[in-house]
Amino acid sequence: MKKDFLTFARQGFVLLDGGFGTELQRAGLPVGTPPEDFNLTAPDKVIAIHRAYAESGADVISSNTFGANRRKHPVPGEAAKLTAEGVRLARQAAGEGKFVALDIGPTGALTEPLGDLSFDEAYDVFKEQVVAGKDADVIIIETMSDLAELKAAALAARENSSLPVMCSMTFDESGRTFTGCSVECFGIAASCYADFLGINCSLGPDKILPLMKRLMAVSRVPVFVKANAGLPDSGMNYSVGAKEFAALYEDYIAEGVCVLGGCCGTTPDHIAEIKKLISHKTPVKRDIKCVSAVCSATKAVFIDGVKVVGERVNPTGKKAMREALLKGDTDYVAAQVAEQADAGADILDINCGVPGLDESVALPKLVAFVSSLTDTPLQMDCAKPDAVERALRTYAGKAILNSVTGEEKSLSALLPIAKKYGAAVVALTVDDRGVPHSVEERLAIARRIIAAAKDIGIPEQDIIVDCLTLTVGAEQEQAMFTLAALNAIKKEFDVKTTLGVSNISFGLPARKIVNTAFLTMAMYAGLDLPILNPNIPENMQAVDAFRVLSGQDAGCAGYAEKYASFISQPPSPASPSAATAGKEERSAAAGDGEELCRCITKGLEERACAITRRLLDEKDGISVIDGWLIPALNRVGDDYAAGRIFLPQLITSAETAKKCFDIVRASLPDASSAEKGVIVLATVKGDVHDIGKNIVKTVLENYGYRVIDLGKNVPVEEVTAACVKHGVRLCGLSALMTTTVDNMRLTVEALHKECPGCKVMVGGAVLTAEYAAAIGADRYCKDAAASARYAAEVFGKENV
Amino acid sequence: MRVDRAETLRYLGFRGQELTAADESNLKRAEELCMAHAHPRTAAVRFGFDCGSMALAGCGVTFRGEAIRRHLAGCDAVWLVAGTLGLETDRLIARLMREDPALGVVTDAAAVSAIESVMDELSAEIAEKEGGRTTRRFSCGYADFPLEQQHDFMRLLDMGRKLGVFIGADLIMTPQKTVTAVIGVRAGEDSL
Repeated sequence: MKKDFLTFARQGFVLLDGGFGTELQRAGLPVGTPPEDFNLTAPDKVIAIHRAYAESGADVISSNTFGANRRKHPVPGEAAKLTAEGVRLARQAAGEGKFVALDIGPTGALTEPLGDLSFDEAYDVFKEQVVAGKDADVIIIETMSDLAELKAAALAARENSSLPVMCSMTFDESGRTFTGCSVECFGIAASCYADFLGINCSLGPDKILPLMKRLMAVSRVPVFVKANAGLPDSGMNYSVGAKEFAALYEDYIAEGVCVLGGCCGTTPDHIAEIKKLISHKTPVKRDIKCVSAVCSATKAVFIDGVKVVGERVNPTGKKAMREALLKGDTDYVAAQVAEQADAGADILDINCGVPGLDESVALPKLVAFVSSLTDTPLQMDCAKPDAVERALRTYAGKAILNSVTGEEKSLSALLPIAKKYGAAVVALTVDDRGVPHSVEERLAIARRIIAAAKDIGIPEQDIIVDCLTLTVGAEQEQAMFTLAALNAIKKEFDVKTTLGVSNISFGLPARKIVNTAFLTMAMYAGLDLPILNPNIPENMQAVDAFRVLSGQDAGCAGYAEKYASFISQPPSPASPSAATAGKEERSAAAGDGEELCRCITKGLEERACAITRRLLDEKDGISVIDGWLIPALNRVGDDYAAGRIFLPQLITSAETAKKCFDIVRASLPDASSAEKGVIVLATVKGDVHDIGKNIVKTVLENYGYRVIDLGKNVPVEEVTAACVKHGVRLCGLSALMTTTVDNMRLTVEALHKECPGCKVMVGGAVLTAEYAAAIGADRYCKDAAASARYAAEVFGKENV
Repeated sequence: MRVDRAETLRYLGFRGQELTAADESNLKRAEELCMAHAHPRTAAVRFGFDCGSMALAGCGVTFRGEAIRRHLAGCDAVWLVAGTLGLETDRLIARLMREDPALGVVTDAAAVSAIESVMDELSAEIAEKEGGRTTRRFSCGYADFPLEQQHDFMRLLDMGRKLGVFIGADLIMTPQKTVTAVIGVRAGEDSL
């Protein structure tokens, strides 16, 4: 009967094995040959190394399957065969009483959005390995540097096997992986899907020790270490010998690390020395703390004081956001995200609850998009289980789920999802009887939710109680009830609290005054996570002041830095620059058209805007666009084509024109009448190089087209669906590589079939007019100016 | 690592047009941003080489293509080299392209200049080690040197683990400012 690894690990030290690739190279594996190939071509050499480790005292023998995945071995079935054989050899060599670990390394590809590996593909790659390696006793996923890839691997292990899972990442001395993931993000995000968290490779034991201490401060599970034998010299000789290596592990043992092994450059001798070391030691019991924190893939936020949740990415009561979400206007969303992060939001609430939008599709997409823009951790604001699950599944970090209520249906549907994906969860104190109106009712619901959450294993540190802000104008006594309940909850439990702040003042004049006072009172009562608009200075000022008064801002340092040059009075509207602009406006009364053209071509934004405003006094918006803005842009295009200006100048001009367009649009009763047409743009499937497409987008938008930007690495179906949905007459596709232009051909074919009325323009470094014609594209555009000319042709403005 | 302004301008298609104050300021800002966000890392490994069979010694890799054959004619060793600026540069450029596209394209060009300078420094070190008998750099994707051989560079230089370079199904490497190349070492008189 198989021994149970977790039971064994609870009883004392666990000794893992050491370096495998480096040992294989010593045994004659040619440099650059995938080590796992030896499972089939030289199994005796693989067995010999495993056996040496078993004899040196290792309890766990890791299979030679680190790179045996489909991305590295694309021949169908090869990855599975190498994996199964690797596990079999490890078992054969290990003998009785040892454990066999299925060893899984990274795919070598980078996950979206920076890379081309989708979460689902990564999951499938690892699933194949997990299934093929089913005869192991434990799964060890190691040397990861991408938190999203690690999550895909760990979920593949969890969902396709019942074996314990060990997860390890590799860091530089600063405690970051190559992709920017910090030790803290790893510990916070991965604790929920691993039985052990570890650090391996890259560094020697001395350099990993400080990182290990940082990991232990946040990891909710036992930890392990597999250090390199120091750093290699140019001849790939590692510097730390067996005795020295083992001696360096003494500090780990003293800290409470009980699972130890080696990585590159370590040998059976190193393992034997560790064995000697632990044979006369007793494990130190580590006190595992449960820290309240959330994170993205690259940024951790500890909820150890007031942290601000930005509320702007939410269509409720915000017309512009609703329209942006419905139209797929990513720029608007991006601007809201950037503004809030710059204003000091620690966490961003993400809500896409708009009638007509399927949240189960829209929420994961929006979460992925926002994650590509900011490292601020996210709060998924949605109560639909399928939408929440899809969004949490692919989110690399640890998010907050907002929210569960006291209703049985909500608890049973959402808590298991929060538990599975390790999300913190907002407990909203309402239930099937509706909104509570007393302190006691709020407490009763909170207690019930907390009990249910703890029942399925969500600790108090991951529960955030929302005692519900009601409108003080309607139910005046409720404000104090909310705060009393919040205060009582904080005394009774070790949970965190949240409140939507601005509801309080609904219907009152000068709402900011009431909001700020309520916010301050709530923070004093124990509010940890105010949900608010961080772009309103008074909100952040109240938070900053509270951080000073409560001692959270040690030495008032943050406050002093932020407000050192604070001016309490806003500058008067009659500022000198406005006066100068006025003078210029008057002096330039003659020859406006020529002057506007000059300002746009030179990128003189302020002046171009002033002239546009003056023109609007006399002319209607459409005439300004057709009579001045478009001709100016045409001249810019001609100048660019003739080499009179170069790329940055083209873009600056286009940006200037965009500002003028914005002014014109604002003057029109129906902004869409200024819209020249709708164009879908995409960088085709397989290609993540979109700088050219982005330039085209900027220029087209500045010509007055509405661009639906589908982004990069866009599947064929997504392009056709968008073109059909928006009934567009023009679609632009870009591809950088010879390897992806074939996807362009497939996309063009599908477009012609699915949307016969839509013209297709293509561009990209390797494309030529001949190739574009050969794949059936309607036009090859060599640059952004050319695409604007073609758009004008398609949308039938002869003067453009 | 350095950013060469003339090179940056060349990548931007500059042909002596008048530079505005905004252009000058973008160039300066791009250079600063580029230097602040790049984390250059390099790797280089020397292999014996048979220019007849085009095989690298001891690793089972053979170069394919006529162009690389001509480039390495008379060489009895090669250096495989790789360098990258790291993912932070990718993130920087993506952010600038959203927030300030004109600065974004200039920074992208500045980053190309930066990675080229990193590779130039590495090439110069190798040339010195080899007594000046080295060829210029030659990369996968040039002429008929197949892009598929990028996988050989990834493995032989252990680029994932050492440099944090990833390779996609399209054979393109991430971070985007990553270069791999072969430098040939011409057989010396003593070995002829």
